[in-house]
Amino acid sequence: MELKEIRRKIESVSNIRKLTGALETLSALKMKKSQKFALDSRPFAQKVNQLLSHIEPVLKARKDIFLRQDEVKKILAVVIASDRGFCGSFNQNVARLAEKEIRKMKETGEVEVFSVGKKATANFKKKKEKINNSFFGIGDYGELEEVKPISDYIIRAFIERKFQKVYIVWTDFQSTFFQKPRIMQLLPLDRESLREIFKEISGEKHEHETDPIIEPSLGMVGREIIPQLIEYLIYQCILESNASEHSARMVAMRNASDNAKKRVGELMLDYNKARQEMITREVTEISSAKEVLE
Amino acid sequence: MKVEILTPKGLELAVEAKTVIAPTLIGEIAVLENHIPIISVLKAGKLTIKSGEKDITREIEGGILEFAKDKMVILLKRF
Repeated sequence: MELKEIRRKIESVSNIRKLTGALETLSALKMKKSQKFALDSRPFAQKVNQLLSHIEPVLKARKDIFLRQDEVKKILAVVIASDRGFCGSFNQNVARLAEKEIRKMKETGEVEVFSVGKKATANFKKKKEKINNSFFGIGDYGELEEVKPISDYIIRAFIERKFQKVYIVWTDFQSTFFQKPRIMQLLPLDRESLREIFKEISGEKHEHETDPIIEPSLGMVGREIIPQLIEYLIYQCILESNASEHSARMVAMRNASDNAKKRVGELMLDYNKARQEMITREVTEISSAKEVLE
Repeated sequence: MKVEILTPKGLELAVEAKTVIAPTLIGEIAVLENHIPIISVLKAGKLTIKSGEKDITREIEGGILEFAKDKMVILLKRF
């Protein structure tokens, strides 16, 4: 290989390394922050989930709007991914699970997608799914208020009976190196699916010996508590997804930096070999020329 | 009884208390020890936790209160 060519390659690889290194530092910071958010609000989310399962049987008997199992015509699939790439297989994992589940949902009714994150939107556009609504810019969310437009939209659409079922697909944050995409039936509320999801995190069993009194009235609880609780659940899903996204990006960028570093080392070796070869060639040329002259 | 205040930012408060006075949608209620299990919706107002020596009073924006097995959990957006 030409010396010049190798030098150019070394330069471009070290530039890439600088870039991935910077991204790594940045996402390490974001990761720390988003992991803290997700872990801090877990006890809260568990409690929310517990409360939902306590009041579920009572509300079910009353045929509350949030629990009514109507005939399913239309299904809304909320899919949470990220706005940016460069985060390993994070977006693909979410998309793969979502597509698989959407295929299954299509057997029971018409499916529309609510995509959260630009990558999710782009993916479903490509797959020609019907997109009902989309949101982006959630990557750095930490406040409950910021999630409100999303949860309000979902709850309103459900109350207006535009959809008879709502599923949510998100990524469960387990550790910096491991995140798992998951799906849950958000509406109508279903005790079993709530249990299923929080079983792993909570573990603790908490049952009321006697049925609790519910104040002020069941109807009011249905109207007041459930939308709030659903908002909290969506909030938690988004926090978990964010923590997963930043962790995945940090790990991906670290791998990229390591690879770039290795590649620079290899190229340096090539470069030195080529340089030595050139010098040897020049020396031989000079000495042979000298011999001819003599 | 144990009183815990939870927000999305984590466990904000965990204390022993004798009485909790909370603003519910239909008026103020006071929950004493050994109250029967209750779930209630809180509106904006004053929340008082009485432990005997020191009382804690805070303005809250509304939330959810649950009392069971001598343990009260109050879910708030912020505290």
